[in-house]
Amino acid sequence: MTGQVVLTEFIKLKHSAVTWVTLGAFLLAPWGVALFMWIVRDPHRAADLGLLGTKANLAGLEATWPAFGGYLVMIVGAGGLVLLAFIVAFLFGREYADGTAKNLLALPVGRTWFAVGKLVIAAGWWTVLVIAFLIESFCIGLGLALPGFSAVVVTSTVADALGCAGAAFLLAPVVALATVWSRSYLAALGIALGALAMANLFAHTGWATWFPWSVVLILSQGVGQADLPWTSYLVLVLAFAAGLVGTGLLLRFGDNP
Amino acid sequence: MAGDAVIATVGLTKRYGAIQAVDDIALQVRRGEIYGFLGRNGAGKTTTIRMLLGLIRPTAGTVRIFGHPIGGDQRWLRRVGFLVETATAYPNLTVAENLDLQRRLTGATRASLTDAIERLGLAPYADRRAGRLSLGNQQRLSLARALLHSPELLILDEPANGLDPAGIVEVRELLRTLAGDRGVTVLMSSHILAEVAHLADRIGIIDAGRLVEEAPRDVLAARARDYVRDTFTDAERQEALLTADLERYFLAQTGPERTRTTP
Repeated sequence: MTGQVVLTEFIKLKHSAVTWVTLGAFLLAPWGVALFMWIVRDPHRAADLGLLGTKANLAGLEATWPAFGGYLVMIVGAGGLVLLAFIVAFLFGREYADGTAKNLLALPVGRTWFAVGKLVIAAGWWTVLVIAFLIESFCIGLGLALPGFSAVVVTSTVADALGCAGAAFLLAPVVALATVWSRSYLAALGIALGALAMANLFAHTGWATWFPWSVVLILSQGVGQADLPWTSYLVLVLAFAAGLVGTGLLLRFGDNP
Repeated sequence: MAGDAVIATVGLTKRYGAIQAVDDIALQVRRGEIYGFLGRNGAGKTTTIRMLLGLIRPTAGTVRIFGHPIGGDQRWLRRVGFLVETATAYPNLTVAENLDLQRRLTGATRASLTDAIERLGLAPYADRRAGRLSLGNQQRLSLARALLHSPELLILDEPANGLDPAGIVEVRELLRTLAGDRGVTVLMSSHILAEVAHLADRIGIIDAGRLVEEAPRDVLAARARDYVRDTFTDAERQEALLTADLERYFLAQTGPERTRTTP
């Protein structure tokens, strides 16, 4: 039955516009980075074309494969938090928006399995998005003929991006919990975006390594994973567990009007 | 009597803060009977039905379906078909796709999908997206979903919502057949007495969250006749009869060819 739950969630996602919207949005991002690399590499031409303002300051920026990879990882981490929040809020929130939650929760299937099924589908779709993003990005990078290309750079970029993608996903159940609790997309998205804003604040207060959203941002900004204490990873795992258990308990024991 | 009760509630109560939505309801619905749950809008019918399905938790009291307390293992829901409040479906999926999701999650056969579509007259709309269906056809889709896995118990909240008079008669006949031929137990709620009176073996009346009256249909009908005779004038009674006659005539004109009459 668990397989059927995942399959039905896949069918629902396949027929939804959100699938293509998220794919389109995520695949646009590398083009933005590419444009940035191109500007940094040839600022005079960019200025001639009106792409640079008079106060533009490109000091310290470089158009190389390691820099390009760094930006890609940042997009997967920070952008992933937003995109995943959107995907998860949609998967859970549509059941309330369409009024189908009541049909789903009174079926002969453990309610927790619906939460698990939706998160499995979110993970699957997120994986597809990240892989497509990386493939597209590397093609663009090769097209730009950036200096510093090597197998080591590619490997470390892929490893960092996948690590950030995984870390971002660990916060997906928290968004699921917020959606089930509020029974709407908007509140969940608000909470996710608010958490992201808080992550920036925590970065300035010295508590960033304790706040899960900050941890993902630190990972995505190229700070070596060794720089983070083990407790930061524990915080991520605890957030994942709390989100999952909370969502399951709310579906199982809460009122579901 | 309790032994063959498919639905049995004791002291069923639901409070939302100061609001008493359902108050100490004791329901007994027997195997194979059609139970009409009658009440005005906001009387507590839907809240009761949601508690029967385990969607909301009672503040007090117990619910037993097929003798098993609800909660925990949800496998008993395999024996239950339901329609709660408004008809809902995934708007981006077609009628057939919506029913296929239900089929997969209830373990029903592929043949049952076709059967449910045919039975509810949805064949012309099978490939139409649910979001583009009329209100009546959305209701038919929800009823098809409830019947898909051949449940032993049907819990239907306002099943005639959105249906035209001919559709109401079709659904009425369908439920009568299911109860009579297959022994399906039906609990149906409505705020329209006529709808319940046509079909139910027993009727429970809920008001302000309390079950204020419960009796076999014939007993309740006799009480109603006495009440109408004592309360309304002859002209008012004639008016009511005329309305009923007009409805029958409309049904004859808009129903299947064989029932059509010449004016």
